[in-house]
Amino acid sequence: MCFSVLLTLLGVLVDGCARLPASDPGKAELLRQIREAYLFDVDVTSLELLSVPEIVARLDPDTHLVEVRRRMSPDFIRGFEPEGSIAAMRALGGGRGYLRLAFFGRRTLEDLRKALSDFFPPLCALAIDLRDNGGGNFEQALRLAELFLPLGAPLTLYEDRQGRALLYSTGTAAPRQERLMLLINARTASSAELFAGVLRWHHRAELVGASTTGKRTVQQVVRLDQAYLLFLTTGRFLAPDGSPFGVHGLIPDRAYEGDNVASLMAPCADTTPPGP
Amino acid sequence: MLRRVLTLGILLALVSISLGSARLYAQTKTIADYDPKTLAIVVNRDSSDLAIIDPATDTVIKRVPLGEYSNGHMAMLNHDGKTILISATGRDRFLVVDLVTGKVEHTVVVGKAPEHFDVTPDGRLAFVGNIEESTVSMIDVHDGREVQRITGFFEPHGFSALPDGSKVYVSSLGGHEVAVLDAKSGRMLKRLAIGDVGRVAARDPQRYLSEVKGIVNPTLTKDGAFAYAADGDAGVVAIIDTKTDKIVKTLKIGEQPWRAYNSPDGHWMLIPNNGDSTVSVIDTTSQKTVAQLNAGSDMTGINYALDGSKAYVISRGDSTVYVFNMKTFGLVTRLKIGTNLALETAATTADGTKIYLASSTNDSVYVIDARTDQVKQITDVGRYPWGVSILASASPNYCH
Repeated sequence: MCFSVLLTLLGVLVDGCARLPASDPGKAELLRQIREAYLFDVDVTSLELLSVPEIVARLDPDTHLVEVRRRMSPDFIRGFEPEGSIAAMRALGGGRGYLRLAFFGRRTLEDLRKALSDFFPPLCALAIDLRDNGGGNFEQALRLAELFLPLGAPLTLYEDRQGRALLYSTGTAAPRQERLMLLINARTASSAELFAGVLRWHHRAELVGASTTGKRTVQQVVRLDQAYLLFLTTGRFLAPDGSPFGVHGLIPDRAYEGDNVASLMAPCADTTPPGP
Repeated sequence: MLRRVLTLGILLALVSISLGSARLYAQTKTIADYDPKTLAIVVNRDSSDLAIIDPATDTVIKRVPLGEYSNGHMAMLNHDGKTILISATGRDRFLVVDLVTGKVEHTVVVGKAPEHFDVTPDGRLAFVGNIEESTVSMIDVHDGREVQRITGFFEPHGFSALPDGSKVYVSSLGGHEVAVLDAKSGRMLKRLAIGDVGRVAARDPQRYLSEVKGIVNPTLTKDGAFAYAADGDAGVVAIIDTKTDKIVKTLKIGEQPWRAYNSPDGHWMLIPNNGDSTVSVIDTTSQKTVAQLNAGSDMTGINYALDGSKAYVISRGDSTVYVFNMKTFGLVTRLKIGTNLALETAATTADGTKIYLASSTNDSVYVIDARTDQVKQITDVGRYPWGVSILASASPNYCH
């Protein structure tokens, strides 16, 4: 019995020694990032003997390791694949348009601008479908919100290790005037909640559908080693007044399930688009 | 009358003799008779060979086989004009080929998937990026051997050796870094982090965001004093002082920038931004962005012509070349090369009057006359031409 306990202890020691950090640059980088950028306080010395996946498992649930995709087909031109964040668009008649935004990517703002310019005649009411939109690029969500808000409008209170900072709209063009309806559901998350939350906070959009996920943290992407990217929680976003954008996610102004979007928006002939 | 007939006969005979000798001369003309610095070298990926084009006649004067499945990615003449250096991606080899004989002088085993490289000004050492194993092979070109394999990169993609041969700058496409190597020892002197990668707020980052669009190339200014490194994810270009190896300035440019292209007079850096289909114009003296030009989609390169007075922006997505006046930054014309082509990269001739552009999917090279903007097609240059290089090019356009 004693011998077996001794063996177990020895095994733990050997196992621990085998996972010493010195020879693992990915682990060294992970610990450095936790010390310098991680949103929450954590005792880094207690993590030093753990493996990279074990360390990540002890952090908040939004911190992830993501395996880097291989993209080495000889026929592939790196970086040129279309993102396709706008998954669908159609005119609904009566000056109304519909766009489904699948996620927030690097090109989403540009894609949205192009899509809106493709509607003719120009729209006076727009439904943006954020259902199943799991978020994505944080900055893009803010830039998209700016499209519909005047210069200088507060967007979000951003909190990180350095403290809190209020971020404002810096858009230079006049804000778009379309009446906005945003479709949301339980899988609308993160950047999508930020986008919807900011526009609702400014009474610029009506939210229709079901309550959202309620993920309000922001991750910084760090190349950890040859195999993995680290998505480390480094910040969180709040409404400009410091309140959360919904305690457990955004609650819709109108509950709705279905796909008859046209029935949710009045045609524009009877409606005056809201001012900025 | 008889005298006239005789005279005409003698004249015809003389003309015929002279034509015959010209034909004979053409038949016996070898690569050694050409100025190697002017030749356009096309690397054909799928036929695993090179096509050598004489810009005087726009004809393929030689095909150089590189070995089955070698799938060359980049080819360039060494600085002495005697050997062609090729990364044979398909076979994980680096080849040194004699230009005149077409014989492979050295076959160097390197790391997995060698693609881009640069050579020190003395032509002695090549630094080759093995992109699939994230290493760099340092190769002694004369001896034909790998001196060492250097680690510490994330998909090393672009290489620039300083004009004084002291250092080599290596950009990581799979990271946001530029590494500085000592060209003599191969020792890594520094790793410079570029830009601040995007923040994300996503429920499932695995789904959309596990790719990194880092730095395609560190482009040196003409005097080698600065290197411009554009980062795809960050949407910035960092300006690195090559004396101190410090970032002296970071400029916000367009979305998803590709890489910087230096004008022949060294005054401009043009950077295509594939995220918003624009081209950023940076004044290298003030180190400021002075203009943002609207161009095409999926831009693969920029070539200057006519002493840098015109810039040719290659849009793969539009099968079009956008031509800009570099004094006014106005659009001169759009050259619609074809439909659904895959335009790759190009090289400008030494006198700056013509541009040779590889078009992979139709096995062609297009020749653009910069004075008239007329386009001519050279067909059947080989299968899947991927890039063109000219040693004395007025505006080289690194492979991609």
